[in-house]
Amino acid sequence: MKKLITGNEAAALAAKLARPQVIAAYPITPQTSIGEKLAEYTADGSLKARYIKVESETSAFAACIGGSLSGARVFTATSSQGLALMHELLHWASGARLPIVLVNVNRSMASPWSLGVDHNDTLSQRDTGCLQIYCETAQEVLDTILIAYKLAESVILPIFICMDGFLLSHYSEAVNIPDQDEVDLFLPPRDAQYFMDTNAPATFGGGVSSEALYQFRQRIQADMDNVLTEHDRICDQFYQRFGRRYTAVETIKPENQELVIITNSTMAGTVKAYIKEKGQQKGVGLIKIRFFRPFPKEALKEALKGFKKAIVIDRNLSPGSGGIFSQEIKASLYGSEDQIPIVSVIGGLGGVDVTVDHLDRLVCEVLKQKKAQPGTIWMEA
Amino acid sequence: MIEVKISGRGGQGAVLASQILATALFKKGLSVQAFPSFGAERRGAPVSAFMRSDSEEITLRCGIQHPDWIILFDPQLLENPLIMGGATENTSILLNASKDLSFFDISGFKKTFRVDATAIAEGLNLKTTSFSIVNTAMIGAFARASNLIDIDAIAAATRDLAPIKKQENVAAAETAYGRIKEVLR
Repeated sequence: MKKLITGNEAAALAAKLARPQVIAAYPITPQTSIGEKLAEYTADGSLKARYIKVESETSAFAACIGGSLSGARVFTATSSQGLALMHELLHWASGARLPIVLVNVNRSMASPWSLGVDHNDTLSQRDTGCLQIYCETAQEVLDTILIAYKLAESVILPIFICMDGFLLSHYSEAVNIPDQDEVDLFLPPRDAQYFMDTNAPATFGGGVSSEALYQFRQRIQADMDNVLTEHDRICDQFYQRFGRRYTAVETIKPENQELVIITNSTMAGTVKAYIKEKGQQKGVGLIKIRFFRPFPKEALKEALKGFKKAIVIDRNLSPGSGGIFSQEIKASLYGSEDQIPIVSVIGGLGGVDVTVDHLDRLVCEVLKQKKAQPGTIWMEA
Repeated sequence: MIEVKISGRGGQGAVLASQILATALFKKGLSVQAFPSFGAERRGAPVSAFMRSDSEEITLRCGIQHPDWIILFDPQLLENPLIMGGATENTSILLNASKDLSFFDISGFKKTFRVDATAIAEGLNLKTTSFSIVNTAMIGAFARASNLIDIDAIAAATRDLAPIKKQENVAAAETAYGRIKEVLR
């Protein structure tokens, strides 16, 4: 059934369809309506879950850890400072190998306070061992949450589904809502291999030797290395059942491949509109990066083939370094034979608009330059 | 693509108006987006909501810079540069206003329409302690002014989305559809 709903409603609906047994979330703009919707579903009985009311995001995530350790499927959602407040527990959850699904509605970090989107909140959690996927549309949010449960429970690691605040969370748009029966067939209940069981007592997250910790870290890396293969396998199943295909990296290749814009999230949607309107005849293509952790190096290299130049647009800033995606992309290409010039651009911080006209002026400027400009270009705001 | 900006005071229902309009167009098979202005909204402060529709898929994700239409729930907003900044000679406007528009400069727009939505809303007892709820009347009038959508589709979407007083809200939309006037310069 196709309905007009917001990105946040799509997230709450997906969570409901996944049948989580424990939900704990603390309100923060622009995430609030996800928690409110799920509270409504549990109150009216349409979702049989334990909704734990908490006094902070730390407690919300701690409740998710408890639920997940007991073998339950759990869900939480947050934004910005709320995610930062969960920080130490994110490390804990990945170390304890808990497949917690967290939706983060991206919002810039204070100070100063802003409600607008950028990705510094989730990218600050880069090294916590949580998977990260960035979505462009409400449909993608809904579908990715279903895929995320299956993926997280298969590789046994926590996962973030990241969606842009307001530009996605508060846009009403058409979404195909799958039937519960179909979702149940795609996503059966969690079958935890290890969980807290009073009949078979065991210690979780206890003290270990240095050597044991070392081995645990090696295992996380090995399982991370397997995530993208597993994701492809699950996305095949998803495609067969629901007819929508998702990949770690999405590419638009024009006939004449002069330049590619690499970006993520809703910015990719505006780039698509630009390509259709003006970019196509200039030979402009798109690489939309969905996965940030693990970083899809091989898919990126494949997607770049044939392009002569690349612009990376980062809606984030690592002060003192520059755009975070740009760093990752350059590092991924280190040592590869067919390297192309890469122009690093920062744009849209704090929710500043990036329009088709902005993109066109940027592309025209970059196409004129013989050599890629070193350092970082700031888009007009 | 058609881009519409709906501006009013926080609490007057601009966001719901954008959703009613989007729903009506969506049910006709068009691709739509409806979204509020972003920020910390306050009751009484100028706020805007937006609506895009197109026969093709819309992938654009940014604010509406130069709307084809601006719908103003309060004609005083004509003087607010934050609301009117993006208007061009291709922008048409629809005002909630009783007869006298001589206080306002309405030159420079493609077309100007007015409807006394406050009188229609109050006649149907659509009001709170602070405001008349003019959103459904304004959307009914917009259907006539823009020729984008028929009043039956607006009435159906209003019935779906109005949280209370469904019948009165549908009546407001239909009455305003009948009473709208073009303002000739």
